[in-house]
Amino acid sequence: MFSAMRALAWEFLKYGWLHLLLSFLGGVALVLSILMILKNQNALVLDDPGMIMLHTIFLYINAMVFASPIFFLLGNPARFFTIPLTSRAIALSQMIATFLLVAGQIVLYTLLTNRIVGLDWPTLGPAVCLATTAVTFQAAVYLTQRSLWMVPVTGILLLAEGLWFKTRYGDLSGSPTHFWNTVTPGEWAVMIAALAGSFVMGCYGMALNRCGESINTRTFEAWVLSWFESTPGGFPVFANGASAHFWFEWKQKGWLLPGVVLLGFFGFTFVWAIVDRDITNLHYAFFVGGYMLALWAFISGLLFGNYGSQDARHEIGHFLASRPMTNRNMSGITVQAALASLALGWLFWIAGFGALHLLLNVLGIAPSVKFVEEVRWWYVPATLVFAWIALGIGLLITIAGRGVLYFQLGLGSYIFWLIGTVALNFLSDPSWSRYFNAGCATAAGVSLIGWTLWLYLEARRRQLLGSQELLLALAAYILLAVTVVLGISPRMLTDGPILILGLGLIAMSVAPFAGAPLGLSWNRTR
Amino acid sequence: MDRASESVIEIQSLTRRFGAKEVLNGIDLSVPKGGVFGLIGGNGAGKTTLIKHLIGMLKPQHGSVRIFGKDPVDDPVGVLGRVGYLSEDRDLPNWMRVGELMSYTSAFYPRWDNHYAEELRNSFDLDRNAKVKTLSRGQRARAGLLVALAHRPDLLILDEPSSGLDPVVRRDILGAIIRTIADEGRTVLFSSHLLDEVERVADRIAILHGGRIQLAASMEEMKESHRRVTLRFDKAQTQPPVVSGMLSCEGEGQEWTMILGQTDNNLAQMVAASGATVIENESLSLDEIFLTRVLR
Repeated sequence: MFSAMRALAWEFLKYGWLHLLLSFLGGVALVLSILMILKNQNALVLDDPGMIMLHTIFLYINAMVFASPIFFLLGNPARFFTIPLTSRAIALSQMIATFLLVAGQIVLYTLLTNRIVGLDWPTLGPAVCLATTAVTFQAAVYLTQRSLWMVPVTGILLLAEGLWFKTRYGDLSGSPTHFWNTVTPGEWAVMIAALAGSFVMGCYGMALNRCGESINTRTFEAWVLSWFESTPGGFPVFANGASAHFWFEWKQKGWLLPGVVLLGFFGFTFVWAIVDRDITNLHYAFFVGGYMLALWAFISGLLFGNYGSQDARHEIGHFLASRPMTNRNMSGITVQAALASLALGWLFWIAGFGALHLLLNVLGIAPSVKFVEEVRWWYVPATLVFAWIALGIGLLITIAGRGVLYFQLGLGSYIFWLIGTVALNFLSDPSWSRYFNAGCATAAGVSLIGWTLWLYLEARRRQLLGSQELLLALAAYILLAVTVVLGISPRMLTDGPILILGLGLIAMSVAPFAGAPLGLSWNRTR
Repeated sequence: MDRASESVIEIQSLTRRFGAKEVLNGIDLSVPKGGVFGLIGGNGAGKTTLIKHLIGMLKPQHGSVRIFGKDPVDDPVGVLGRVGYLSEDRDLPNWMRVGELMSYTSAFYPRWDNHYAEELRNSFDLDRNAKVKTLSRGQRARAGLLVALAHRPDLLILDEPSSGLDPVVRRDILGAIIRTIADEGRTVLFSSHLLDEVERVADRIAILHGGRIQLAASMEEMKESHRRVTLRFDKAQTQPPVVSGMLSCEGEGQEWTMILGQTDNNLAQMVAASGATVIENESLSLDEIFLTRVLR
């Protein structure tokens, strides 16, 4: 038994040590980069109550960043079912690994952050609590993964533990008021009980999985599923391959962004109704949703660009590769479907946020958020542009079928920038890090502009793009750049590196129109 | 009419490397119009790699590939619009229903025959409302074959169509191939390492081994040219006899058995000169021909 456990541990670590290291560095990099920026601008006030909120948000983010690759690396436990190990042994080995790795990384991350930035954030309580939450999630997945209950059960358990974690820093409603510096015996008892309950649930779930069973609510699930299924016998009829492929893309991926927006509205409203009930906070949450649209658009872009036959494989599958369509047409339809999906999601957001804003006006309640002075109503279309840029970046990462390469490039650049910033801060005059950041911003902007230019020239050379499309893209870029720089943010003109970085990011708004057919041709024919 | 114009597939000097490993080395192959062409080789011989070049998923690093006289990379519509393809991994969208798969695929092919598609669906016993991900391996192969056949392609490419399937399903697939042949002028290319099936249905075959085409000929020519001959000599022979075209020889003393890749007067002359007697002269199965060719 112990040699089997050692073999499982060896398999996990040998395959996954690099993923774990990179995810840890990525999580730490994200936090340190934000804190270092604040510190350089003398905006890091250690006594400010906002620091507590920052600490908790960073913990949530890092818990997800640390846990995600662990779940990915642990993989489907079904591959162990033919090994002479009990279901309990398999479940425990996986959950103990999750607990130790998540807790260990949070402790290490907090110690590093405290040391580098000069903070005094608590370590043990958050580490154990969030590691317990990760194990709870894992156990809930084991129990419910063959049923429709996975999302509601994991969601409810995560919400419950998340709310308990929030109460360690203050009241259930309102902002946090103190750090969780000391873990009381009662809190230890709650966490140990949650951990023990998770282990029991996980072992039971693993045993069910091994027999190919699930929670027995099949009749109810079939009834729920029938609401989402097409009418039997009512299959679509298409005029041509283009309309068929648009249907293919929309049915598979188009619903994500609009669905997330609607789910976000209902989810936020539900949580708000329980913990807050201050309508100005709900208005603020919907307002922030405009920024969050970019995050979900990026994920949506990753999905749209994925032509692989499996989620984890971006290399185009045989079925799509053998469609009698040119790369230009096929990728063009993907971009159209992605645009349509984004437009619908954005319209949902506008409708929801607009309705709430109107309600506040009608009720005579002043919203807590005021549009940033220089942005004003530009914020609304800007959310669409930022979301499109994010979607385009995601799409370009996966459509070439070499997403890992791009991810490594991006992560490597980010880690290089962080190490440089932190090192310069300690080794020399802190203003040197500002020069370094300026250099990196300039390099990034120039790279993005140069890459976009190369995409268009290469696509044109391969006849994947017409000259009319090229001119349209150039006109759109110039129009958007002038609008943003002169109309929305003239301050950019006074800061060269930021201007160049901004122009580089704006270039990403037109990059997909050339990058998509080029990426697909690179993916489809190797 | 010259041979080139009769060919559906023309491959010239095709070479492909993956890193340091050379998978295809100077492949020359011509598949004539009409009939069934079997591409046989062991695991890892390069059959799927060759097929990927045919549908444009791989670009030749050296040499050329032409389907209907066109480059499948440069003209995917012109080539793939006339090709029906079933991949080895049965890649189909798992989220689609069988009916949706038929509707979606039909939109790409103007020659899609709804009546024929329904006929195939019924004969393959596929439920229109069943999701692809719920289909068994055999059903999945049938679904893939349905959408590959229903638009009556000029060229049907099947990569290991029978792999992992039970004899009943294999019979269905072979039945579908034969029906395709019955349509005038259509061509089938299928790769397989199940030689008994290739032997039953193929008109022409090519043996792929070590990145090269070891042999390409009609089934009839192949059977006629490969013989197992057993000779009995008057005196014990210390060395194996030498005959041109001999692929292998085993035995000792007076009795020697050889496998010949070509039969000509040389054997008769050798037999007469040495006073040997032919005690056995039989044709080989495709399995035996293949093993002899690749184990040399």
